[in-house]
Formats: sequence, structure tokens, C-alpha cells
Amino acid sequence: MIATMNASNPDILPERDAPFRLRGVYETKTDGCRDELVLDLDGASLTFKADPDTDAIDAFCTDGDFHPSGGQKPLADSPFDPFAGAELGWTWLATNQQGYCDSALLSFNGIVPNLMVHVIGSAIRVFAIAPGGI
Amino acid sequence: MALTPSIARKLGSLAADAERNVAEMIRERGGSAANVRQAGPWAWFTLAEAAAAAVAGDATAETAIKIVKQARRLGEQY
Repeated sequence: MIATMNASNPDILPERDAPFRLRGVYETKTDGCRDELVLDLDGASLTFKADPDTDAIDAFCTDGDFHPSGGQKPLADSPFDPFAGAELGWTWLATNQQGYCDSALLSFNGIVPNLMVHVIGSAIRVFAIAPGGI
Repeated sequence: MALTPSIARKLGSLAADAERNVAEMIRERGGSAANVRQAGPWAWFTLAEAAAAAVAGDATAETAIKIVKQARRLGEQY
């Protein structure tokens, strides 16, 4: 593990010259709940984990090529699909009014967030953020 | 109500209180009347019933469970 996301360090990607391109997304399910999501980022991986006791999210970046284990399956037909091969740009963490960090925002090919990774019901959900705005 | 592994997973550590009422659990954990309202009709069901509905895909039940889990504000003692 090379970096852990927390309130004082919402940018979990380490400095490097090569872009962090999205090469794949893998999920792990436990008793029907997606409790882990791993982004394969060309020589690094970004892992999100759901805490079933609090519905908080944990995130950390690991250096090195990602090799999925038996329980990690490719995530199909997801909001990540349009960003295959795109460069992961900035990352954000969101802490809710109750004090729980339960969401992360990700931008691809830019610095405006495209996706929200959110924990509810012991499971990780991914939402696309509509482009545009006022 | 029997707790299947999927229902227990939805509840996390709340599984020990699965037969208790959602609203009662919210208030016991320091949640407000607004939190109870946010739990919607599931406030008057047990955690196990709400979790079973969440497993079946009911997003409002899932929301109610999350409100219970996070009713206790981090950093607060009461």
C-alpha cells in the first residue's frame, strides 16, 4: 500500500509522471453485497472497501501491476465503461453530516468529477454524475 | 425472522438487534426525529424486515438501515 485516502489526504494517487489510465474495474461480493471495488490503473490499483458496520468507505492505492484474485470479478456494464482507458485525474472524499466518510468522487480526463463511489447497505454503489450543470 | 447471510450482511453489526424497531434504534443511537422521518415507512418495521427488503432491492429500506448505522454522530458522546 502506498497511500491511504483520508480526510487530510483526499488525493490518494501518488505522484508519478505516467498517467493512471483505467485498465479495468473489479468487484468482490460477499453475501450479495459489493464490498470491494478495485480500479486497475496501469502499474497501480485503487481499492475501495465498504465497512458493513458503519457504511463508511475505505480507500487505498497500491503500487504495482494488479492481478485479480479468484474472488475479484470484472465489473460489467457499469458507469466506469465510458472511461475505459481514460486517465484518472483528481479524487475527492466526502464526509457526511454525521461524520462518516462514505463517498469518493473521481474525475477522468480532467478535474471535474464524473463518478461517485458511495456506500449504502454494506455495498458499494457507483453513480455517474451528469455532465453539464449551470 | 431468520437472518440469512445476505440479510445479516446488510445489517453488519446491527444484526445483533435485528428484531428491534428501526425508529427505536435510531432514537437510541442519538438520531433525531428528522432521522426517523427520513427512514420513511421502514421506521416502523424491524431491522430484519428492512434488511430483507433491501436484499430484495428496495432502496428505501437500504436507506433506513444506513440511517440507523449512522444515527450516532462520530465524535459525539451521549
